[in-house]
Amino acid sequence: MDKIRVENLNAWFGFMHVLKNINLSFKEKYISAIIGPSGCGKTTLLRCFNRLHELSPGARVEGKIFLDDLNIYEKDVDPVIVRRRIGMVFQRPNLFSNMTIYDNVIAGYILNNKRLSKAEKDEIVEGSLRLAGIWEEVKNRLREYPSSLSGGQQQRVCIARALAVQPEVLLMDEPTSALDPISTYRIEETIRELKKEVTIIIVTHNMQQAARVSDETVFMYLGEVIEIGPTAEIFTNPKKKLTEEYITGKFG
Amino acid sequence: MSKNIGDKIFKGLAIFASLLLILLVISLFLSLVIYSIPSIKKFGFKFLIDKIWDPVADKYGALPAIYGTLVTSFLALLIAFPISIGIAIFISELAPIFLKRLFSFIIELLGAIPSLIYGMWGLFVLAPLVQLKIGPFIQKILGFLPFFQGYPMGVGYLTAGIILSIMIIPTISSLSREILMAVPIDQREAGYALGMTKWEVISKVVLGNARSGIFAAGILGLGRALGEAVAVTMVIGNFHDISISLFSPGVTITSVIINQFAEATGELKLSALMELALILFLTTFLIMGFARYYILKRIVKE
Ligand SMILES: Nc1ncnc2c1ncn2[C@@H]1O[C@H](COP(=O)(O)OP(=O)(O)O)[C@@H](O)[C@H]1O
Ligand SMILES: [Mg+2]
Repeated sequence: MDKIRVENLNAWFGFMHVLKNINLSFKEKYISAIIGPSGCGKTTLLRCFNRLHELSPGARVEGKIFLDDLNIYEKDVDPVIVRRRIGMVFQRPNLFSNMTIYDNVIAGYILNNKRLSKAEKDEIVEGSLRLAGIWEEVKNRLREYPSSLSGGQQQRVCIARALAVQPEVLLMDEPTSALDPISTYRIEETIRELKKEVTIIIVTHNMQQAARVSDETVFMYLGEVIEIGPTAEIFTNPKKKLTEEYITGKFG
Repeated sequence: MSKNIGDKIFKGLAIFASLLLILLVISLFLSLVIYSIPSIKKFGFKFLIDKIWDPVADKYGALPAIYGTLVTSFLALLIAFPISIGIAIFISELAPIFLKRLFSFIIELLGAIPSLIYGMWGLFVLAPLVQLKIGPFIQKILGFLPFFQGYPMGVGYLTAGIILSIMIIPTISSLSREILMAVPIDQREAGYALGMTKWEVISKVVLGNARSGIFAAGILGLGRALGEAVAVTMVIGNFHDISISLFSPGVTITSVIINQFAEATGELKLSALMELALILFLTTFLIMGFARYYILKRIVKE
């Protein structure tokens, strides 16, 4: 079952053609990795899935992206609704610096559910932090501000914040590129756990990471999708020469 | 080696300049205190609560001036603050690029107009407007409140408050605009990615991030209103009394000083004016200090 299907997607920054005729699909409750050298358009592609790309000045998108049966680029689709179904974790932790850890986690949830009792909120906050594997570390610090946490802890609270709204898809843009090996390891563990709950698309330019966590891998180069397939196949037996050269470190 | 000497010279110069600044503030303060001594000796604490200002009997009290300064300045802040935040939000978040530029330019222009011109406009345009249109209109709606009793004379607390608000809008809105624009893009994107609407991003994320800065901008505006002299003197009415009604004429610390300084012949009168200046100095100092402290506390907490 395809959760997301991309048809003839093109994207621009001003006159720069960044994504060129992308056709792809991502299976439900799979972990898919997008790899490729930096500047090839991985972030841009990810930001097309939750309609964030169009917020950049001069940015433009053409084509279709289906979330289940809904083309999210259909004229009358409200991007806000799309973004509530598709969560995102950014390259650098971006917790709201003016809110406590608790308020950060609940921030998205209270947007659509205005009237919540304290107990209900507590439950969502705890559940989300547990899912993100950070509950034990922050359970006594919920009223503190994010700046008191380490980068790795902040990033896992970001994951909790995205999970709290129970998204159907979770987009992750190099979520561990700014983190130490131990934090990276723990986030990878979390990602594997989350597979039961949500469809995950993770951008990484760390190939080992893609190999460790993902079921399927997409290889991109210069704004185009070169190859897509089961991760094991992409890494051991790629069909395209370009993919093989990238995997074996001939360029990157 | 020579680089080291250069460093030392620069460091010395920088320290010297900062010391000079501190010395300047202290000497300003001390001169005010010294000149105020005769008045302080004669009237003591009563100076602060006495309403009389009588050069013939050589008796002076500061209450109407303090009252007028506080009423007009806070009224100005009350009017200017929400309008300025609105302008800042419009410029930084909503306007297309050419309107951003246009409005920023207009705001800078307004800030650069000499206060004398605001005063003239206030006297010849705003005062009649308050007397004939704005005053009666407010009275019709809010006339039951004690603040809007009596007949609007045109000049008075309300007119001064409005003029001051117009004068501090450029200060507050241009500072707030800069503070809003400095909120990092990743904070906004975090909001959008969670499914916030544009308005939710502005109100929860952008304003939330900027609130201590905006508070500081308001305080700076208040500081400017407290010290503004020329325009206020032209529209306050110069009437030595206290009235709860904003339609009444009054005085402010600055207007009393401006009106009486030139003809301050007696030592005691000069001293009383100096004490007024000292009060203004201390009030401004305290308010700024409070704002600083409050903001620092906020920043440390976050
Ligand atoms: N905000 C932007 N404005 C203009 N060009 C951009 C912007 N962001 C990215 N680009 C350009 O778009 C291309 C794709 O970038 P990106 O999607 O960030 O690549 P990746 O995530 O694979 O490193 C790059 O050539 C990059 O320089
Ligand atoms: Mg990227």
